[in-house]
Amino acid sequence: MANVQAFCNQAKVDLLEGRHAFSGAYRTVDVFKIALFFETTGDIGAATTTLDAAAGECTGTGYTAGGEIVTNGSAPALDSSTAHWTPSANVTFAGITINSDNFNGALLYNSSQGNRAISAHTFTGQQIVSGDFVLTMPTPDGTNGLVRIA
Amino acid sequence: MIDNEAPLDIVDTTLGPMRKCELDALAQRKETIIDNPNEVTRIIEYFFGQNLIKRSAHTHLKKGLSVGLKLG
Repeated sequence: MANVQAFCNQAKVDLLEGRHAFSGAYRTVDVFKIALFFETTGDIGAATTTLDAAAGECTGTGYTAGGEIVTNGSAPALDSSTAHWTPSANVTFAGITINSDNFNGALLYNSSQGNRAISAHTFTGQQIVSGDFVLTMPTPDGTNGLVRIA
Repeated sequence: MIDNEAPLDIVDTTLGPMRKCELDALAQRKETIIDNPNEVTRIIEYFFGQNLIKRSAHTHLKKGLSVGLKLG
């Protein structure tokens, strides 16, 4: 098992089916969350369909199963020919201890639509002890944005 | 957030809550930066003797993911 950075395959179908509302332009905006995954037991990647089907979500003191809600203050936008969306604030896991294993994966998913997975992101494995883990989002544009359709 | 508390703010450690100024005075602080094409991660650790009593991290993802729409 390993966490692999990827746009989830099922999310491509879900986008065509209109399951994800990143803004309230057409219908009520969905709630999106980010969950963290252990390096050894995590298996998030292209084949991930939902949070619940993914193995290896982190456990630890202060960490809530399912992770944290992402702040969605910026609607999807167009940058040249690329549409993009990025959470509008850091995602903070405050006052946690996750030290039974390194974690190196974060799954973005739609908690309003059956926890359907959108994208898996990886970073250097790390542990937190009586501290905070802060995830800062990339520049919200057509080149770097967290979710892009080119 | 990470390591930007005011001196009198209460912070958690494995030894229990303490003021940030006490943590800075009593513990050894170590900072590590990881910078690669995918991320910049800043790790702040505090040691009391040989014991790790606090570890926080701030990861900045440099780039998200793209899905392409194809015609033809």
